[in-house]
Amino acid sequence: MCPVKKFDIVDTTLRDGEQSAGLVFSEKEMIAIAKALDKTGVKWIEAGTPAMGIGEQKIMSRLFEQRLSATLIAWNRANKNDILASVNCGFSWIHISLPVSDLHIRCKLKKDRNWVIEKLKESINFARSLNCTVTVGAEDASRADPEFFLEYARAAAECGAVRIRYADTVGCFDSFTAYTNLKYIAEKCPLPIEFHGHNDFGLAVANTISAYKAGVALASCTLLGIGERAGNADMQKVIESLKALYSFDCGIDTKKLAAVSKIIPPNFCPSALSRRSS
Amino acid sequence: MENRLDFADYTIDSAVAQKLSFASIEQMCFTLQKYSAACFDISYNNFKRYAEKDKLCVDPKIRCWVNLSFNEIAGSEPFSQICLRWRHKASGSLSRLTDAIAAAGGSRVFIAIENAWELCEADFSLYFDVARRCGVKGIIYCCNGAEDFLKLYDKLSRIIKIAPCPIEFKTKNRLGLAAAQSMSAIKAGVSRIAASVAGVHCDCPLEEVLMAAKFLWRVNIGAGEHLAGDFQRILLTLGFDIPAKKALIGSEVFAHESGIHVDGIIKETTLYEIIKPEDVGAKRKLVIGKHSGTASIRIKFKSFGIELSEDELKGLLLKVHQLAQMQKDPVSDAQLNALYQYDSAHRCLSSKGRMNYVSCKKI
Repeated sequence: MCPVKKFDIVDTTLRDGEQSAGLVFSEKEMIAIAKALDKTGVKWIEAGTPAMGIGEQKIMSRLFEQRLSATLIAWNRANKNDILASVNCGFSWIHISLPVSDLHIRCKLKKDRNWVIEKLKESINFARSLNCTVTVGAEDASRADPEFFLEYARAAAECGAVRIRYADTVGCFDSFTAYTNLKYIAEKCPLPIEFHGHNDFGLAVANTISAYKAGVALASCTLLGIGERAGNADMQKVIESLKALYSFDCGIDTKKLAAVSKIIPPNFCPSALSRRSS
Repeated sequence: MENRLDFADYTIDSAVAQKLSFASIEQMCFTLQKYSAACFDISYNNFKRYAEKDKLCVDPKIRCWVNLSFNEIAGSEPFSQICLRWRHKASGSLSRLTDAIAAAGGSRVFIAIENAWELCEADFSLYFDVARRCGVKGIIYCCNGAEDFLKLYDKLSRIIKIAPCPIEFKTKNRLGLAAAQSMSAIKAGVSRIAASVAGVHCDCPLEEVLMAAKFLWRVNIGAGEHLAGDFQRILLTLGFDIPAKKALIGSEVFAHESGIHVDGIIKETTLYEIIKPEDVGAKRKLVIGKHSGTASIRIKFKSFGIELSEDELKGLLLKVHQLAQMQKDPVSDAQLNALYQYDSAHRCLSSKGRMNYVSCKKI
């Protein structure tokens, strides 16, 4: 299997990273992080969830005033109000997320697979009617039927979505299952795949590397691996691992990345074991 | 997959380096044995400086790592197990190694090939020949932390098939890959993995490999229900602050704030938790903050014995978001109550006059 020639990092520090329980970035910090990430060469920044309210929307609008080279993406549930809130902030790249595992569909949404597909189409079509570029998220994909994931991806592609996020929402992959499952999916998926790993067993970076090896085109990462529970894939470690193992250059300046990571409060970093000060 | 897992612990080496009392070290060893630690690796340099040497070297589970020097080999004589550090050189002679094994007394000796990632299978055959001739107890494959997991698995599988002695695995975590590489090694059939609590001193985090093997691969590991508490105590004894979000043992690793996640957890915990907090002796926590939704507020007030209406929920949610953003911290129970009291009083007074919201200080 030849390594992929293209592999982009999607930064989700300001969205999934800030969802680390108890973490709040001020407006100043969010702008500083976004600007600094832009300078490192990160091309994609998942900036936030405008549906959270006026406060978040104000910050999102301020991010657009910075005129970054990176593309700012808004995270949305599959509903029109979320999408409208994002568009009103200035977003033209919209990410729409729905769960694809039967566990999530039945227990969380109390719906079925057909409903998910219909909701997906409806929300993509709505976003596209507002001239948005749409990426879709498949929540809990690692516990989903791979054939349903592919059906979901095909439906998204037919409606004009440009890529799909494969989320290992609860961090249940290991390197082997990540590689095997993603290789199978990547060979059949009509859309480029973005792997989104979580670190519940400390395997997020390794699973992201497996995703690269399996042929996916993008991966979500955060600064210092912050995020829900034990966090997401640490961007610096993913970049350095790809370089060390496969001589692959992500095009991101890791020295500048280390500098911007200092904005993150260290107690939210999952791996920062430090000596107690005497 | 073999239903067995065995670790060479490095946590104790950190304790020896810090010159902690033997009683503390003994307690740590006792705890770690619950978590499949079959031997405790310490460096000769740390042993040399340790006051209670005599107590350390009599424990048959403690293995001393030595350089190929006469002084170190002689000094490690009291240990039941020693490990010789060796660096392979292409076309280099192995006579220095075989002499050292003979001086150390072959049958208690392990060889750690510290640049094993550079060796091909033919190179390993040289060491297997040494192992056969000298009665070496085992060989430790030391990885630099930068090996592709599939290639590592393939290589180790082939080596293990022809090895005349057990093969152990040790790696570095500089790229965040140590746990995954160790799992590759387990899958390949190594007899033992080097690890330490939270990766202290050695880099491969014991709790990650242990629990991943238990919950993802169903390896039969009995322990776990006290993991978080046991490992937190060990780290505190060693003088480390544990990151609150450290996988499996951090104090906040089962804390949920985001509205969608809390809503999911309330319905079914497996939606957003691959293991239960009780599986590692931790507790689930509900944090009220910037990302909270109405489900969080509702359930919080239910715990206070208060049922909120939809209007009350929406009003409170907005204030919670504003307060959390303003103070850059979660909203405490006391603050939540104060916001609720303010809202209630405001509704009561609204027909009589205005009441200005001034501040809500964190208590």
